[in-house]
Amino acid sequence: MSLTDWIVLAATLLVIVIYGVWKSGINKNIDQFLMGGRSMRWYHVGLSVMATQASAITFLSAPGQAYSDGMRFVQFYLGLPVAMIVLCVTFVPIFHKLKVYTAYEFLENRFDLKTRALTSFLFLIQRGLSTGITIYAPSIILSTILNINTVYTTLFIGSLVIFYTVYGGTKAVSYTQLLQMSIIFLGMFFAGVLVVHLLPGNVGFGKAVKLAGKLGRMNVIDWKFDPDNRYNIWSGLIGGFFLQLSYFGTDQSQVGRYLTGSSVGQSRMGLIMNGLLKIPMQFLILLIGILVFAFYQFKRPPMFFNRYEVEQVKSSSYSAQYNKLETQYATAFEQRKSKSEALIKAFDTKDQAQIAQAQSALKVADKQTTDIRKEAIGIMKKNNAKANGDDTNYVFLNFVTHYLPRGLIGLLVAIIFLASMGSTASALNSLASTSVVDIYKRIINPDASDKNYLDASRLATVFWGVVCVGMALYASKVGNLLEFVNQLGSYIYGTILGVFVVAFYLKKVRGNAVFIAAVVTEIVICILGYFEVVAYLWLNAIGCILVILIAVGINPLFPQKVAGQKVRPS
Amino acid sequence: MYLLGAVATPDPELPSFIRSWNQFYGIVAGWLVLLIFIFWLITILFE
Repeated sequence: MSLTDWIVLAATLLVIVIYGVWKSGINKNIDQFLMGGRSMRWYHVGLSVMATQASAITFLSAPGQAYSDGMRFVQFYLGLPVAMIVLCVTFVPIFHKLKVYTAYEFLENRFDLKTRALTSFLFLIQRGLSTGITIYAPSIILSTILNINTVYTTLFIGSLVIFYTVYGGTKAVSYTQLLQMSIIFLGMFFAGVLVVHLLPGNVGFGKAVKLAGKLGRMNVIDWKFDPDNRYNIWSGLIGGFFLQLSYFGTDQSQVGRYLTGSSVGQSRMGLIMNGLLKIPMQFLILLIGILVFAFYQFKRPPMFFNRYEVEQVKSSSYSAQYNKLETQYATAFEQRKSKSEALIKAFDTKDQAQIAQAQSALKVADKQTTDIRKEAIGIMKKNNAKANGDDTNYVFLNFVTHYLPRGLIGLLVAIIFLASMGSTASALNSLASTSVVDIYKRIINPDASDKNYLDASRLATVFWGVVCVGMALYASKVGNLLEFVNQLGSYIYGTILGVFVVAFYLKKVRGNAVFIAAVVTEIVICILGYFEVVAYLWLNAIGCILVILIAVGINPLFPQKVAGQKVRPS
Repeated sequence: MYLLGAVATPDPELPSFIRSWNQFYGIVAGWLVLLIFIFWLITILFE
């Protein structure tokens, strides 16, 4: 990176942190620290919800995923708008009415303390682990650019987020996210425009997309129902609906965001904003990946995008073999390039037979480069069985650092940082809320002063910050980060959602039944997930349905309390 | 009925061009259908 890029990066980060801290003011009690005094407008809520979900992983992995696997990943989000509607109708009014700090607090009102404790515990495990990944993702950027260990970059990002989250609480999180999302939209727009600009003169946006389509990358919708296929319309609509409903309805990092809304209406409008914008946003991010794919049909990409793994194999006894493959790859690329150019020319003729012929030739050439790449990954694995053979996260990075102009590289890198900071800040805030409200305040120290809880919240934020940074340091050997985080969520979200669905809709089911159902379901889901019986998106639906069925089935075994269950205010 | 009953009351916080929350939810659902249709068109057009 040039000096200009460093200045842009530092200035962007500095301005945002200062703005967040300045706007957050002084937090006098736990309500202000954790809920921002419940005073946010709908656009704050909406952008905050989007920033929490759109982590750095979104901007790193998604274009890379489109590059290697096409557009079909967008189907993952198809269940989201429907989930937003259900949330607006059911969850939001109840959470607002009860004035809860956390979603799990409601479960004690409805069931009992042990169900509240179980769901809080599941949340803390899931969120604590996945936040580590959220911090790790952007740290690989700096390590790639500066050639330094990811440990230092992870520590830098972690400390920055811990600082403003501890200082300003949830208001600092929301205000920084507002600015973060604006800069992210702006930066991604420029990136998209520049990729098109960098394409060869005779290849515009339309032809680039057509070219990618001819190589199977414009596979946005897949109607075929296949439970083993991760991304098709059915897994997206049904599995995705359950995942998004669980994430937004029961994950405190999101519940905490829309509970900052000044009223039920403001929270609802924020969620609807997310329902309307999320899919187009994700589509456009993937489209950038498609354009990068088209760009690399004319400019030779590295055979493998992760420079670290390449250096490892090049400094081993397999070096000669790998170098030979690189030479073969260069030749194969030139052949593929000429076939791509032939296809572009065929597009101009509008002759379908000629286009089909050029497409077949290109597919053969493309397969040749893919096979050489696979062979290279095989050599990496031979050299080191633990080598990461998935370079999806490095594709977009490679493009940004090699081909974007000065200044914009700094801005794009800042975006990755900002995205990570936004979602990490929300996660730390929610981990602190759950630890303090559901565990410390409820179980350990119920009668302490408000000042005590405020201090405990700050301390809990620091504690979880340190834990998540620790997790991030162990994340380097996980393949595709985005999928890993989603898989992790699917192991737990379905169970928690099942508990909430029973709480909202099945009034006769009691605490003991739902508690046992949740424990049994979690064990079953872990077994199904471990043996990969179905694609992970389906685990959400299976988990939710299992909890409901078991709870309803065993409920008659538990006698109803005569005086009804105790309702405890928050 | 439970779902519909919960959202039937007009809300002054709604934008002026939206009459009820139900209408707002309908717009979101319609938007999803439109997006799926556009995505399907893209898939078959660029095959």
